[in-house]
Amino acid sequence: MPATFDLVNLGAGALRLAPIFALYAMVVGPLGDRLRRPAWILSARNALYAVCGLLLLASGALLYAFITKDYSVFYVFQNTRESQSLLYTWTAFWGGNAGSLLFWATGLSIFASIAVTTNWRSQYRLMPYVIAVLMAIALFFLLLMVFVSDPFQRLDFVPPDGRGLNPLLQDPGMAIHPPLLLSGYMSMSIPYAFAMAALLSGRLDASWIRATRRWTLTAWGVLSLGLLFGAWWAYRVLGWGGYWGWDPVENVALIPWLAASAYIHSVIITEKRQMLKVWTILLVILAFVLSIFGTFIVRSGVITSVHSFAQSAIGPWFFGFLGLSLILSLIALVYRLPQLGSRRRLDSMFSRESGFLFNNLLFLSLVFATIVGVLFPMISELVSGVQITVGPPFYNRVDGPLLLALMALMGVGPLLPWRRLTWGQFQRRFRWPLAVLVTTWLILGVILRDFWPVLAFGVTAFTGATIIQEFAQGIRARRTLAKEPWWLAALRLVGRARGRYGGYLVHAGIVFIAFGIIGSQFFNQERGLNLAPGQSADVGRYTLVYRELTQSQSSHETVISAQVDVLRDGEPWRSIQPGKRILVGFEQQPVSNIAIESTLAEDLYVVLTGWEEGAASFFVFVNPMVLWIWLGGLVLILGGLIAWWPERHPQAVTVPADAQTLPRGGARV
Amino acid sequence: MSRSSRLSSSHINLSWGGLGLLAGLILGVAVMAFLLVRSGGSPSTTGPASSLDQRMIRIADQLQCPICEGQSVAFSNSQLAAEMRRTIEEKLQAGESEEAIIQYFVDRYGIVILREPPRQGLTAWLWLTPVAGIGLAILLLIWRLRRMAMVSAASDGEEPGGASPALDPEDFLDPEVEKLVSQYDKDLLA
Repeated sequence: MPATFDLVNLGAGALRLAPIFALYAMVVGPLGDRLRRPAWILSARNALYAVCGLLLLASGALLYAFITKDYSVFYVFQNTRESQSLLYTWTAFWGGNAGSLLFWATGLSIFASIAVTTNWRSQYRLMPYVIAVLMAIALFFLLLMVFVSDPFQRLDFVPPDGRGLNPLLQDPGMAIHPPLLLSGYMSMSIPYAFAMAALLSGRLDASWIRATRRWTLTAWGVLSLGLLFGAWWAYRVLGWGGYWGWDPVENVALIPWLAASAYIHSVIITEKRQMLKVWTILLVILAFVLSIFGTFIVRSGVITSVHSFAQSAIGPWFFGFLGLSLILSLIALVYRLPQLGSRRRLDSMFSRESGFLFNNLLFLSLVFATIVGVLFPMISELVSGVQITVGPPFYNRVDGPLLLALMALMGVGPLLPWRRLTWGQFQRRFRWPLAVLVTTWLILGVILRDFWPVLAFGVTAFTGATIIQEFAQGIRARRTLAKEPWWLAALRLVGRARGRYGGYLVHAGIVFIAFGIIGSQFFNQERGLNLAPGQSADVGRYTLVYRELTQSQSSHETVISAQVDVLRDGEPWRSIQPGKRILVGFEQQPVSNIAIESTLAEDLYVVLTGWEEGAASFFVFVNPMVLWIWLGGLVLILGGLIAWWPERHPQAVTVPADAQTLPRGGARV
Repeated sequence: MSRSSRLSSSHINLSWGGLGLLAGLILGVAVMAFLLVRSGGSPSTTGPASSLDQRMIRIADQLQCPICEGQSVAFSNSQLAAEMRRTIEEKLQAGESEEAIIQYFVDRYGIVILREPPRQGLTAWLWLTPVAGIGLAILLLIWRLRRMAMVSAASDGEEPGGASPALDPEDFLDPEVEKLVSQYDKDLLA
């Protein structure tokens, strides 16, 4: 034994032990509830902790194998090599299939432990079932790793060097994009598990929603961040001038995000108005199933795309799990349907309630249309044997208008009062935003003379105006009330209603992103150039002067750079070095070093495509307003954090009537 | 909100502000309609293709690069895409039409080369399914909203706590701030 005992074997052993604990927790928890044996429920919880501990051990072992470059482990052999830098040796952990599964399962078990620990007292009745559902999900991933895709699989011999991570993935964007996306996927399991627990235990009040509010926000926020990093990576690395190609794998990352967004909104109306309970549960099931679908598409290689680096035979397993969890969830929902009637009715078509309904309609239409686009090539090939491509034109035409409608609704919705909107309220609340809308249309209509971008810019400006108006009203009220300077009023306003104003900040982030997308989609310019040294060419307001080609070499890569001077409006502006990076071991797969010069107005984006006898060829793109997308992303994440941040006073304090006139600061005495 | 303001919603009385709002909206919609007619309603972004280069890129952008998934022939860095771009350029110089060039590639690679699948035969369903699905969903939602509204109208007044304005507006806001906001709405904005 001691001869073969090492950390890797220990990890492999932990991985094989974990499914037994998971199965145990899954069975004993609910049984303990039925048979009224609190000790059994406690035991199930401890088994869940054990699963978490074992998975942490397994992950640690795999990480250790990577850092020590133990090439006898097949997964390590595949994903790193001697010349690979330390950072990308760490991130190679999730560079392939088996490691991603281990990451998923470990993350899930950590989140599960946190969720169970923090809700143990307050949601005790739900706990046996929360544990059971979470452990069922973990069990699936564990069995996959044990039987199909084992991260600890050994080779019969020890190779001298590994194959290494795909060079496209050796980028900071790609180092962080997959774990974010996978974490987003897995954290959707928590709200799902609580919803299922509510159905299974019959405790159907809104407490499961309150308990998981922040988990839902976490899942949504992490997915958002993952999508943003993915877009940023594509823009900086792939070199076709864009950040979003409606690639199948991008789409399956977007789809759960759309479902989660629908759910986040639907939860509000269920919590505030006790309406749409069934619908909200359906949405959380959908968001979870689509997260599994996302993992499945990315990790199964069913659809080949830029991202399908990880190919394996886990397809049928995922498909089976997907179908099973969907069917079981729906059975549980139908079983409890009679107890899920809503207490309130809708008062008017022009109310915040119906605003939320239309929001859900649009989000789900986007989910549906995008799924159709992703699956259609597969269906077409199965049905008629004809291969087809569903590219950006389809999504631009189908998803584009839906997104625009959603943008309009994002402006209208928050101004609608609960129950019903009166004509007087309409005039007061919509006057300024509508004035902004019309002004934008008039001015841009004269300048741009193009229907779609003008329409879209106007609608986005309208929504921006409604958000500003909401903030302005609140701040003005506080200034008068507490005599606070405007900045303090703004801070306190946001601080005291974090859900609401954090949400508005998220909306503001989306407005920025939308401006960036409209600008860069409709007004980009591109040119292919072939320049001899000293020669120059114009693109937009820029003049590019090609000087020479230089080469530099290090232990793990060769970099070839074109020295290019850029003039803007005829004035010398900047020097750029678009180039190619050739990583050792990947001589056939050079990666572009793209030169991107960003300003708020536009990006100059230059790709070196080739060179021949001193002359170099380039793709040059002028992409307007791309920086707005990344800035909008920051605002969005900030808003999400504010909405997520725990309130300082979780218990509602009733303010005595005479205290209402006191300035806010006085209440702290 | 009070009973009286709810009643006033049934008669729409236009103030000067309201008239201005309406006039502005009509003006805006008119401008947009004019632009729509001018651009033919198509979400086209490229203007009249003037240079050879621009025409080449416009054709190449409709073709999917066969070896690099998810990228068009126009901006792919692969060798094959570069050759295809050269072919397009040669054919354009020989005076071939855009349709003929695209057809040439379809004949060689099949319709998988088209980034936008044709709207006939089986692939028509690609376009029909989302449109039909979304249309159906809209109809269902409107039907359901009307039914819910009707039920609520029938039970209005007898609903016990449901109509209480306590829950009414934005209950996330400090009550005193909320009061002030509505005061502002009345005093300064009206």
